[in-house]
Amino acid sequence: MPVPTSRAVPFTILGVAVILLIIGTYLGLAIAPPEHFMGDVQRIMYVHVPTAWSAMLVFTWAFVCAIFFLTTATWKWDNRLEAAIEVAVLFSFLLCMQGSIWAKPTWGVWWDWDPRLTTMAVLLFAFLGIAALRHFVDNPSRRATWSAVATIVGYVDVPIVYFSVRWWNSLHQQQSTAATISKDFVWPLTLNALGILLLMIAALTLRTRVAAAHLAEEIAPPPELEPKAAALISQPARGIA
Amino acid sequence: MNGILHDGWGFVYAAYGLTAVILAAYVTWVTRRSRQS
Repeated sequence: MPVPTSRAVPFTILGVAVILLIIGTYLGLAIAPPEHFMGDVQRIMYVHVPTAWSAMLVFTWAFVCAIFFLTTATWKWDNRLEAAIEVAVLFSFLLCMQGSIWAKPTWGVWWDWDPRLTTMAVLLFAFLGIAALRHFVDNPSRRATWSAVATIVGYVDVPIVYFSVRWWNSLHQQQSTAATISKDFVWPLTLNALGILLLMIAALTLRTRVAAAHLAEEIAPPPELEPKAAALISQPARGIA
Repeated sequence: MNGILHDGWGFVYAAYGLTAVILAAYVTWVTRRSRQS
């Protein structure tokens, strides 16, 4: 199984992401005015909303990887799925943490069993469970198939998270977009959104390579069987079970 | 003007700081593993 060796692309993306985040954070913390009602606490939006957008994207990417793995049975989609699950857990944890820090000064509590927060916590723990499942299942084919199915089941919660603020009477405000906020807030929000998106793409790329290398080691054949087994490894996933 | 809330900067710094530290730690960890593989 070929493992890409060039790291120039993800590191370039990472560098651009860091520059965008530095500029966006400077604009958000030093240049943008405080919001009329929430004051300076509103500045958390410039990191919280971009994290939310990227989290929804990475959950959707995990769903796409799971579908493609189950329909094509090729290992590259399982490697991408492994990376997506881990990054999804990271971003959903960050989202809950930032939301909690915002909730304390605005709602008076660190946490509330509000529909948005509850459905997001369910999503975090569902994908944490899928990551744990991948860790504990040794057979690569079973691990890939089970985690792909679990990802599809877990993804059902994503539209529920998104629409929870519209469907139920939620403490959480409705979605913010560049069109619904003051134009003073647009640039820091946009730059941070691009920065976090690029950082997520770089992390996914690097983590996918780690997953591919780990899988190649895991199913590497003994030296004397190498030609035949190498041909088997290049076959779809079901051929290795 | 600071809205109806006061002393909100501590929460702002906490949100940005923790996010930066966690993201930097994850990217460093993934980069190291990527180099080893």
